[in-house]
Amino acid sequence: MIKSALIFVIVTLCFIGIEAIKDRDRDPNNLLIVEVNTSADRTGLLRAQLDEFEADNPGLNVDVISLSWGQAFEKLSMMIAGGQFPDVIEMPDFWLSRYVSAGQIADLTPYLADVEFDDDLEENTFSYGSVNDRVYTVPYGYYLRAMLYNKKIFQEAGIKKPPLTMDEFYETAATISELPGVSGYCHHGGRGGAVFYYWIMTTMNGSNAFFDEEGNSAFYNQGAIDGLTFIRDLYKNGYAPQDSLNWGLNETVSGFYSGTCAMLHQTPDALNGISKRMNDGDYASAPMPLGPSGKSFPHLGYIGWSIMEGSKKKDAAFKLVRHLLKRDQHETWARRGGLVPIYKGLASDIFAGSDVGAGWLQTTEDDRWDYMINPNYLSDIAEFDSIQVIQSGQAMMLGEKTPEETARAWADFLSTSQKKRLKEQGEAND
Amino acid sequence: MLNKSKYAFIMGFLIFTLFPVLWMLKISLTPDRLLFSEGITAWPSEITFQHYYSVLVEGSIPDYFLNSFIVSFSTAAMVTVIACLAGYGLSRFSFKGRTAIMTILLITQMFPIVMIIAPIYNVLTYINLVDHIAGLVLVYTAFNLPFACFLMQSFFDGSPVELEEAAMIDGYTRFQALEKVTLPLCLPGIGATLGFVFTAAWSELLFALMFINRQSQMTFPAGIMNFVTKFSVDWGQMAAAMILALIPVCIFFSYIQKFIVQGLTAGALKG
Amino acid sequence: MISIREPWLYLAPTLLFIFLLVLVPLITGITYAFYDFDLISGTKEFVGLDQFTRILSEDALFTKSLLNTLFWTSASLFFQFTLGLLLALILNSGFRGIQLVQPVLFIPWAVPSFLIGLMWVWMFNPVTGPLPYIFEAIGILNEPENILSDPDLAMWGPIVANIWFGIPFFTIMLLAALRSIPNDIYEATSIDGISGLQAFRHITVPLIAPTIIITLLIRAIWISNFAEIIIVMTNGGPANSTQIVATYIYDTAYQKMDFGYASVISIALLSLLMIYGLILGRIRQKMTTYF
Repeated sequence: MIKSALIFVIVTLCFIGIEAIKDRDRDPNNLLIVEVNTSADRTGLLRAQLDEFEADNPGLNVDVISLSWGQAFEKLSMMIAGGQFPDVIEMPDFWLSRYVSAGQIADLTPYLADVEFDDDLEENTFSYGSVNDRVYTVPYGYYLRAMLYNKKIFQEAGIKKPPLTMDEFYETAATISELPGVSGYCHHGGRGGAVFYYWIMTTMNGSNAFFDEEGNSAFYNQGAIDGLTFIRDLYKNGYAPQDSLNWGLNETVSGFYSGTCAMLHQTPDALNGISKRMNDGDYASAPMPLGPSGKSFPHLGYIGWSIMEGSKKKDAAFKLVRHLLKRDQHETWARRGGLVPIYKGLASDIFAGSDVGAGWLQTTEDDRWDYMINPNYLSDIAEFDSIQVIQSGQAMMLGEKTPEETARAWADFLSTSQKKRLKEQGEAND
Repeated sequence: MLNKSKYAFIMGFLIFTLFPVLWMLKISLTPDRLLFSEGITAWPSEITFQHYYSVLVEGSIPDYFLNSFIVSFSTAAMVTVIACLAGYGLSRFSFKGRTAIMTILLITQMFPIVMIIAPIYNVLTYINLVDHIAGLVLVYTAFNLPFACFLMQSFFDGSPVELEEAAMIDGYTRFQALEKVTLPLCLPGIGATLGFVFTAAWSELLFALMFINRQSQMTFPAGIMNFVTKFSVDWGQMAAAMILALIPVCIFFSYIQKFIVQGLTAGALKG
Repeated sequence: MISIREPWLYLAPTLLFIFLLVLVPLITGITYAFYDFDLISGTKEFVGLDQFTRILSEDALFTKSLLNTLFWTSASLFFQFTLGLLLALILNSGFRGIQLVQPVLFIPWAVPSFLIGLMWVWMFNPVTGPLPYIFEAIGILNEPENILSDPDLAMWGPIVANIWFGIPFFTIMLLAALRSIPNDIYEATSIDGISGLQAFRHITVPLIAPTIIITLLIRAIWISNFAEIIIVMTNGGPANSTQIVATYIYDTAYQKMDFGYASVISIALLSLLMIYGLILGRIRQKMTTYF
């Protein structure tokens, strides 16, 4: 018995050894692209576009690695630390400075100089993907925030139209919360919720600037404090679900389609999930409410394609990026993914003609709405957004800290980081 | 009276154990559009097998199951054999370095796994086994060994050494004595070890998630993560997959429990 | 007759595996503590003990997470053990239908931990799960709300999930130990007229004591390092009320990408666990000598 058991172990180990020696089905000559915002539907689309690329470029083959959004950051860093360099990676805005400062992302500026993009590319496309005036990623679409609202619940509460100002926003949330079992606003208090705080703080400030010239944070201003007070009161008075304090993306979206809460601050790519679970006429979108200054600054995020510095096939990799961003490829991509496109004029094609797209369309076209871009160039912004803001934001909502203290703590952190950067830039210029 | 309270306790345990599972079963049978709209009901007004169909026919779940089974079975068998030897060594001999070894085995359990994932990834890359279930088998074996060794050691400790010595005086070699006398006594322990390691490997997620990228090599827990995307969780399919995943484990356990329950009566003290 | 080499022969395969795949990575992981280490760029800068002073002097979150770990571990362990022991004793005494019931009771151990988390999140949510209404009905809560977002109660969510998951472990271990006790021992005592409780106290407990100690030891270590359920259920929130050391390490390593400091925290946790292990080890030694 013992002998046969030992033989079994040895045989198993031999099998493992053989597997180790055997060649893999992955060909090192192939391009490797890593996607991080994975869903089965989108992986299919990506594969189709890659097949087209392979057909156009005989001899170039592309492999895809699809990482789940939740663990993508960890896995990608592990792959890189293990010396496994993809050629092209999907790069969310808030990772960019981290990867750039680590020297892992190739500078695309020289490649882009040689290539003509259509004239109607949004003018800021390249600058959004830049750090210190060098382009490191080309956005493949924008994740713009607008307000989704549940028409059915609005009707039940006797509300005719979505809120246009902050006061109306508050009133609407309050009125809806009088309905049994329904709250007004789907607060996003857990991971990923930082941009809502930034929206409300900048909008109440009346400016989308994060810093002044010296690098002092705009969150020291009274408007920012008012913004935090606004959302704290909204939550404290029960106009957002009690457990939304710790909701992540998933929970806010399911809170919305389940009718737990009636207003949702979201990007258009969430619509794919929502449309599967709600009837078409039951929800619509509106732009984010305007602040006291008569303006509003909804967050504009992006994810782009980047090329790894460690890639041995950068030229081919750039060809691939270029292919994915071509106007016709891009249109399908933006439409299927629910993104604000990077080409002008496409937005109206995609969002016009439906209540659901109305909010995004108006945000892109009406001057009262401007975009708020996170200071993604700060090297510690990702951890600040995902950890400090969430934890201290929750403490504020629970009444452990006041809005003043919270705003000041955030402003302190951001100012320090910005000033450090300004100093480094100054030294580099000297 | 004693009997009654016994059954009451068993019922309590059964309810506590099965309640969440039954809730998942309910979710797996609820059509997507009713999932949130019906509120809290004991049973949906309409049931569907669509989720099971999707999971079994359209997705790669059967592949994940096969991978998981290969990984769990090889790991369980390897660990049990190797740990039997080590447990025996630790139990029957007193030698220099014994305490040191036991301390090291224990310390390996104390350090958070998240901190050693990156170095292990490098080791696997080095032996060309990253992104392959064979690599997972190696890692799982290594990480389950310490506990399995302790387990086996404590079972060897609990089985009388006198019988073994008597057998050796009768002319058995140590190996024969181990095989004929001691191992049968330790069958419950072996069964428990097999069961533990199998389920540990079956449900392990962190390594599987971090070391495996290709769909073809994914184990069940890593594969099921595909149901979680940025905005939504496909609850129905996920619940269906989970319910299906419980079946092989239940079968495995009902087989293993024969060891655990009958071990002693079968082996008895025949000397 | 016993050669010095013989025990090492039995141990060799184990040691080989552990050395290559656990010990070497573990030591690498520990060395991170002395470096300012960035996983993405691969840069390593030796900083000596600098990061150790940080944990001692200015890390309030570490203290908080340590206290939370203590609560999380002891509450989980206590319920898992007592319920597990109770169940093992009942199963050991045997009853009709045990063949059917037993595998069912072991189900939780086989569910992947993140699924356990998701499942219980679902159960605790007033929109999707029955528990808030049950809690309200039996008077634990005033209204059916989600305990996971109440900083005073949130930790109980993962603890309940963990108890659900961990009972079978103790049951199986203790049941196997109970089954290893030869029946003749009980038969002998029943002739001597010892009562059931006395038999339990003087025969059963001493014989299963080694198993009890080792399971308590191992399980406590596992639980204190067990972050998955908490990450899935509350992600350390709200406002850090469920932040344990293991989740804090995870955040530090993979959100802040500060592997150096994460390693420092890990070493701190390791040291505390070693002290705990030492104490239990002593107890075990005493027990095996005196019984």
